[in-house]
Amino acid sequence: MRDLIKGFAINTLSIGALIVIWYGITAARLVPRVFLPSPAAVWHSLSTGFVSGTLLEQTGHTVIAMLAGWFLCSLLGVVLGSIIGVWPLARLSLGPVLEIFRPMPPAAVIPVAIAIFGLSREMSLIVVVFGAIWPALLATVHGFSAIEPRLKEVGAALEVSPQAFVWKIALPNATPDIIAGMRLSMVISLVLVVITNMITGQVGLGSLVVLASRTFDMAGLYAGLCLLAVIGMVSNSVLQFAERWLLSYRQ
Amino acid sequence: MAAGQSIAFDDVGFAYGAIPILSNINFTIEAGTISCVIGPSGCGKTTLLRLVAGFIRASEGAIRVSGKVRTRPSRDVAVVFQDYQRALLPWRTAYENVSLALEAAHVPRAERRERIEVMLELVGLPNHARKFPAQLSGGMQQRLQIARCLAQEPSILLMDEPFGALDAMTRAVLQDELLRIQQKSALTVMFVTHDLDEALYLGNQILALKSNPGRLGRLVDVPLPYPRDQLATKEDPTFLHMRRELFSLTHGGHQG
Ligand SMILES: Nc1ncnc2c1ncn2[C@@H]1O[C@H](COP(=O)(O)OP(=O)(O)OP(=O)(O)O)[C@@H](O)[C@H]1O
Ligand SMILES: [Mg+2]
Repeated sequence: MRDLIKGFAINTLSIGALIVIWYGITAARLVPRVFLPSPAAVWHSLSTGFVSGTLLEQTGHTVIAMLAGWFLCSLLGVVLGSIIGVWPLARLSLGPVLEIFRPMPPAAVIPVAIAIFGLSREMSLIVVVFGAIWPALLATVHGFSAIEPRLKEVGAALEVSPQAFVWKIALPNATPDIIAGMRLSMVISLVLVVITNMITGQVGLGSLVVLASRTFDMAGLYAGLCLLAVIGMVSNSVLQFAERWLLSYRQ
Repeated sequence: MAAGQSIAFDDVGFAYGAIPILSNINFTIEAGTISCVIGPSGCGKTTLLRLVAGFIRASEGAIRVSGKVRTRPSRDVAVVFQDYQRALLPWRTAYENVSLALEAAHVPRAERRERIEVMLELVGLPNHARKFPAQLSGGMQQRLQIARCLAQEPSILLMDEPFGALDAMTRAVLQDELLRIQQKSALTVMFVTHDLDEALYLGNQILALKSNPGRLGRLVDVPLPYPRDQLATKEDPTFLHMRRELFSLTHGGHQG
């Protein structure tokens, strides 16, 4: 708890320092206002946007899309990863297929997804799942394969059934890896949600940022970027917190 | 606890690929006795134990437990590993670690609680049931592993240098606990150790292995009476005499 408060204080301080530097740069006019608006202008844009409700809607859509994509990635990644990790036959047959898809840049999937689903939220979801599933999936596979041989012997000596072994030993054993993978998946989800949103132009922070930059609304652009940063930071902190709680046994 | 079973080694040999590790092992461990295995590092003590556990299979000959050839691990043979940190489930509390043995044996939930508490009591951990392994000292972790092994109600207890990493005090306490439990339950115990004093203090018989390949060097009975006592037994002339004899055997160099 003490560490938590300390960490929070340090975070707040460094973010505060960043804003102060930002303010200093704009106040001293080191960078033209058209490229970097002042914190006050961005703040004004944020508050009017939230008061009118449009920004809230855009943020909501982006957060929901990110969470939906992340949830699907985690679910599919952990289930698929467990199957591959536990079952050698699945590893042999699925391994090469995954090796073909994994190095493919997620952006390359976008045209295919658009051709199939059009400029829709489904298209976005598919791209997110395709691009962000890998950390969760590979971490799960790794977590299962890196099982302590001693624990296998413990299971054998106790005659633990194969299902019980997976559920009671292999899966908890893989949990630290799985959570680490899920955290990475979350970051990639957000990135891909924004990119696909820029392309589809539907309500969301991605399209907001694009529109603002086209209309030279620099305060609006930076407001969008700030919101994205906050979403990324908050979601990561929540997962970090969950991780700490779930793995508290490690002390 | 189930009464002990005998273990018979019938011309047992074991090789990793072409490298012979153990050869011509012939001896019998009577039911309800403690046999201590000593020998130089790398001579095959752990391998011998793993054969009895059923984790690996003999390349030659057979191991018989109460007359039945041993082919795979089973619940009536418990293994206390030397590296207790790795043999415990870190995400389960002490209570839940013991519970694993009962869950595996399909003991109904209603019965588990009492049996787990008895086991934790037996190894002196009744007040640490809710702690995770990382919150326990090394000695406590090893006791916890022993509690889990006893909870599986084995008739044979295999122990691989179980007290090797512990300080002298804890070690003596656990030795006496082991003797007390064994005397009460008539378990058959096979105990690997580096420590001659420990072997003499605990064992009914001592198997001294030689290396390259591992084989039986000497098989001696220890005629010291039970219950044994950390001071009196270790001052007994028989103890001292056997200690001297075995010492020259294991440290003498010319083991042929
Ligand atoms: N997986 C393995 N593959 C090949 N050789 C092995 C393997 N495991 C053990 N050995 C060899 O078998 C021999 C016996 O090993 P073992 O672990 O049984 O010795 P030990 O008597 O228990 O030694 P220590 O007292 O150091 O624990 C050693 O020479 C070792 O190198
Ligand atoms: Mg060994």
